[in-house]
Amino acid sequence: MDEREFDDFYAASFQRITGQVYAMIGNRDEAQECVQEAFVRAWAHRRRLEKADHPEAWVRTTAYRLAVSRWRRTVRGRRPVDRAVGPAYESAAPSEAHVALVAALRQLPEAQRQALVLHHIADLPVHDVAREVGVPEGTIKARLSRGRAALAALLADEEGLSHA
Amino acid sequence: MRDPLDELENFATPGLTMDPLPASEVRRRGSRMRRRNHALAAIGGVAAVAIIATPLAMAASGNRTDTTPPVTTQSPSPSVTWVQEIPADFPLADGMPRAAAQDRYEAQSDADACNGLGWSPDGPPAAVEVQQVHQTENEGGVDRALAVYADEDAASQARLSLEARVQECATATDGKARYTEDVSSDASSLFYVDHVSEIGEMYTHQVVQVGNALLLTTVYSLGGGDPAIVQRTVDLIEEKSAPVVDAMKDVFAQ
Repeated sequence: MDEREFDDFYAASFQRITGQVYAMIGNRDEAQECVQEAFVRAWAHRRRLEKADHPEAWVRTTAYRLAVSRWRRTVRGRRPVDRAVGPAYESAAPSEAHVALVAALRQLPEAQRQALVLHHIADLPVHDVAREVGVPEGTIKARLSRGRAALAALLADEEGLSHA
Repeated sequence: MRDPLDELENFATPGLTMDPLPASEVRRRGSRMRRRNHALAAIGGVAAVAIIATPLAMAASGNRTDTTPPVTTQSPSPSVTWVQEIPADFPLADGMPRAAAQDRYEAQSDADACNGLGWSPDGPPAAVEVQQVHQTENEGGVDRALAVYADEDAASQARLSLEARVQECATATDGKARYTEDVSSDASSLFYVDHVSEIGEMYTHQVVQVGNALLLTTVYSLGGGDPAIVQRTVDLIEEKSAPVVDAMKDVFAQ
């Protein structure tokens, strides 16, 4: 991957990947920082990136793992709460439905949330989700099924509360 | 009730002010990271060579005929007695509830990117006692082995020899589909990864020395090729093996 190819890849996919990672972790600033760092690593390891069938998946997975790693280190080190674990910072006024969806996603188990985001937001088929996560397709199908049910219940609860 | 699938598939990031770094700056930082990683690998290699070469040079100096006074080496106190057996109640399977003991050491040689890379109880130097446990996971497996050597020098020699082979293999396989990654090392431990397939299968290895004993942990998992996943795996192995390392300090440290 030469400089021009990398620059085109970066320009075309940065916003899309950031949106997907945001949906996974519920924090937009953190998502943007991690995606930025993932692209730095992508250039540092570009020979490996060239071998990857799906460079965008490589960057997305790296960014997501960076976010998880930051969160775990923050918790483990018992440092004061920072943006990595604090409430999502909303830089603009999103719709009520958007806020509810992000809040509901954040309540799901990590594995279910990741499967839902990759399948429904990143629009990956099940077998690609399975490959990216590194588990069998059956496991992804189960996570999607449970995740959809849990998400529906959470959104229904939220809707009931807002109408009460 | 709202359909969660509609909500998900219409997910957008409203109001998200994207202010990414210019692509040229991303590349500059990436190139700097690459240079730093290579420099660290080079320093590690030089240090390992120096550690191994120094005793050899000192041994060779015994045949010289010049008038320089011979270098004196600090021998361990004769009173030091190294534990030669693994206690029956040693918690080698700590944190592995479904672990099964294995009678003999199962090497991961088929995973090695270079011939003769991995640790062997036969050495040189040979371990005087080895115990191993294995736990099969749904999506991987964990092996943990404890090897006891005659003394601390023998254990150090085994560890440093492995460390040197890892660095040599990492250099030889850089850029190849199957490669060894030298993750980190310090005065008593090292981490390295054998990336064995293009779908991301990897064996992550931790080696920790305490006194005359080595703890060798190997975890098979997916996600190889991704530095973040490698780091996460390393962190988890370190966390899980910490109680075993503490137990080693009680038994094998002097």
